[in-house]
Amino acid sequence: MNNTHTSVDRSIAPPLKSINQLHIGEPKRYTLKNDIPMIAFEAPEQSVMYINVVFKAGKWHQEEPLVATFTNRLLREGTANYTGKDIANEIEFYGSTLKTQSRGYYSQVTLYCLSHYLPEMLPILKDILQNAAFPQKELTTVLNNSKQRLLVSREKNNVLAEEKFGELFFGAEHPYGYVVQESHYDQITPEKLHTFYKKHYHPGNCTIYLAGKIPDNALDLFNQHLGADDWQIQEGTTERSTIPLAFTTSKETHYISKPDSVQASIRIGVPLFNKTHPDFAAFYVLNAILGGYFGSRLVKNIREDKGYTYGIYSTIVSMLRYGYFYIGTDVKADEWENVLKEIFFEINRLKKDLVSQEELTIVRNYLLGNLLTNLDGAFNCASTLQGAYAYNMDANFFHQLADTIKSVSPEELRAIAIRYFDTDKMLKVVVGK
Amino acid sequence: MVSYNKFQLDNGLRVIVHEDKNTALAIVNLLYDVGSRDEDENKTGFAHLFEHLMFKGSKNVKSFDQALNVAGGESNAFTSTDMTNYYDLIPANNLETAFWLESDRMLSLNFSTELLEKEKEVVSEEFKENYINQPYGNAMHELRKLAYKVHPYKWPVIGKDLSHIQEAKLTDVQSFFDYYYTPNNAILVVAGGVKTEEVRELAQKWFGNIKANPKLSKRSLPKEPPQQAYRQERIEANVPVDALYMAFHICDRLHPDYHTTDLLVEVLSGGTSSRLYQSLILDQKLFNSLLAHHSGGRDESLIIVNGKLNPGVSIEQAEAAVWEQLERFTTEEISQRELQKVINKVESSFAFSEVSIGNKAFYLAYFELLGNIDHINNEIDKYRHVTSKMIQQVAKQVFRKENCSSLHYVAKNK
Repeated sequence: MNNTHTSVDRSIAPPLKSINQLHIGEPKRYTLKNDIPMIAFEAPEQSVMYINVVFKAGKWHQEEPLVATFTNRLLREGTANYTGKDIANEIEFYGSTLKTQSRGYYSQVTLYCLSHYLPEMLPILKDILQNAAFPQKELTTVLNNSKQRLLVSREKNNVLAEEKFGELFFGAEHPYGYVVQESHYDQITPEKLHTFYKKHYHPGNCTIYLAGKIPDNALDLFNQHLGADDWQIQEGTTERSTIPLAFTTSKETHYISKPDSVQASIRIGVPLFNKTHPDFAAFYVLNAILGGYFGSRLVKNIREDKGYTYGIYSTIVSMLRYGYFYIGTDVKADEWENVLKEIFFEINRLKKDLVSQEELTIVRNYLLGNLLTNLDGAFNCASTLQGAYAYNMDANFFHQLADTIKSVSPEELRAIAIRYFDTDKMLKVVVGK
Repeated sequence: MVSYNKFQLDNGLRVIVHEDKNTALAIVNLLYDVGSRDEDENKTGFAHLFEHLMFKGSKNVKSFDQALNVAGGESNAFTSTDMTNYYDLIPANNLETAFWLESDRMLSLNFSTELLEKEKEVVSEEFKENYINQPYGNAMHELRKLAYKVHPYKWPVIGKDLSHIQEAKLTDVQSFFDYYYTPNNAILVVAGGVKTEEVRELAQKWFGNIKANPKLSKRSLPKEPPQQAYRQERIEANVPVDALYMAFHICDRLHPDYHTTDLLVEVLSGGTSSRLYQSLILDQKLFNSLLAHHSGGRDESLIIVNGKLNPGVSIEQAEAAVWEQLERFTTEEISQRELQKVINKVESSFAFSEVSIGNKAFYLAYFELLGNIDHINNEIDKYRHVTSKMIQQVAKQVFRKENCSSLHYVAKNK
């Protein structure tokens, strides 16, 4: 048995198999009696599930700073039938976890639980979604704690760079661009939050996503608790129209000095389309080549060759009404100008030279493997597909993305780089010493 | 329940396979039994620096990441006090590529002065990004130094000092590689859309002829003597709010008290129903954040409490309030419901950890590292056997003044 194997020739890589087609399982779709759509990604082999209730109730919909954030944050702090402490105790007693998250356009309430405890969880979830109380005492504590955390995060150069970038890009008055001030906290009252809640947290503004092992009687349970006629669609909410970006072309670098910094934080960006645009998929590949993965040109140049940083990335931010492209990194404080030079060198190289087939093959296969990972299993499918449903798109978006990844040519990539990488227009923010 | 098959190659490499037919992906998790506790006190941060070098190519592989990416895979790694763990996530039909890559870097890693110099710069930037250019960035450095006088847990994984990284030498790299990066010091777990027989053949083919290190011996690290007196240190720095850090010595991961200790920490700080959150953040409003965790190491470890104070609260007042919560354990047993809650939470987190093949693969490797992989499936039973009385006993042992190191990290000019 021992040593019967012949030694292997390590200089030859094992033959590569092509990466499998995506198999995206179709979720089951339900509609609750009060018209809430419910989309379920089933994994019967698990013993756990998640319930994600998503509302169009992010910052976009607020009329004053922080209102969306704290409406969402306060949901767990007390309802008509439970105190904040009761909610925490009940949920955690069953080993469940409750997360509330407020983002740009959407806000959500997510519950992770053992599937057999779903009946115990739904009455609490119902009260959170329908009968939140916004108690003054809890609000004061939450606001104060958040204000203190703001003070700490303001000591971080990357936070300052992000804030400044957002302000210059969207505008100081824009719901996505304003910089939070301590005084904003003092303006928040239970009444304002309650008004926002009544207006935006209702069945007509909401989708429920499930993933994992879903009990056979789940539809009945959801109808009983979240689909009953005591929770009805509010008519007549109109949505604000798109606010123009404050972004203007400028040659200068916005430099903020923070004495004693040993690193400088850099953000460079430019407006772009979102993922509904026909050029999105090709740009997605282009972005990967530039700075979208660990083998990207920016990582090779600025981390591996120069040793200026621990990490650098570029990314496409797709929002329902906006989109932008940006590059972020924290670098040796004295080298920020060289880093800017190298970043623009890499961008210009994409506009000038064709990407080699060798490099493109690596990127194609990496992206296809990554897509396979993001769509592997019910939980991944649920979170990845939500990113398409938000734009009224479906699994087809990912099939088409995969097709472009496989087929986009070096010439098309260069044309995309020329069309969208206008280096003279890019917004540059640096927070350093 | 996690199912697995286990076998061992003649060179000592332990191989564990978890078959999961619900995925088209495979994960190759290769754990080396070496961490920052194995470092020389004057050359700290080395295990982690070495982890970076593992991605710089090997004899037959110019670029590790490129070769994996072209097969649709991606990779990462982490270093802790007790281990260095590498994993490759890859479409299952390209599994062999990961075997080629992992075996080649175990057999013959590339190193050169140039590669080392460059990577020292990258790791120095990592050090700055996370531990210098951050408010409170050095707090854990200082707390570990205060709590440990002898044991290598006294320095953090990133290293005691930036200068140690900058002084690393190529000869250190060579000897570290030769000693620790050998099949008899590693555990290979392959999980996902794979078959045991296929893995057995691949393991034999790619790892079978890598030589074991015959000199590998059981480590003997200095044992931390019991702490005899309360320790306290004060740092004044340019931070916006005062922060409190407290460390208490606890047992090691294999000690019979481990599961009780884990639940004790959960009662103290698990979630928003926990005692610290409810009493000191919500009721008394002394802190705006306050958490406890334990380091769970293979040698005697720490429970660490850390929090940021609200304006107007003195650090002494804050520490006294934490003590009051800790002493509650010693005067009254926790209720049955509180006990049940933390056990339920453990059960639930086990169930959630089984959703990802990456988690499953790492846990399998970790339990094998601890000495007996079979324990992975009776872990929950060990938690179920914990009683309120046991929690009280451990709390009495741990939450003693002379077992505590306290760091007062306060804002300058206030």
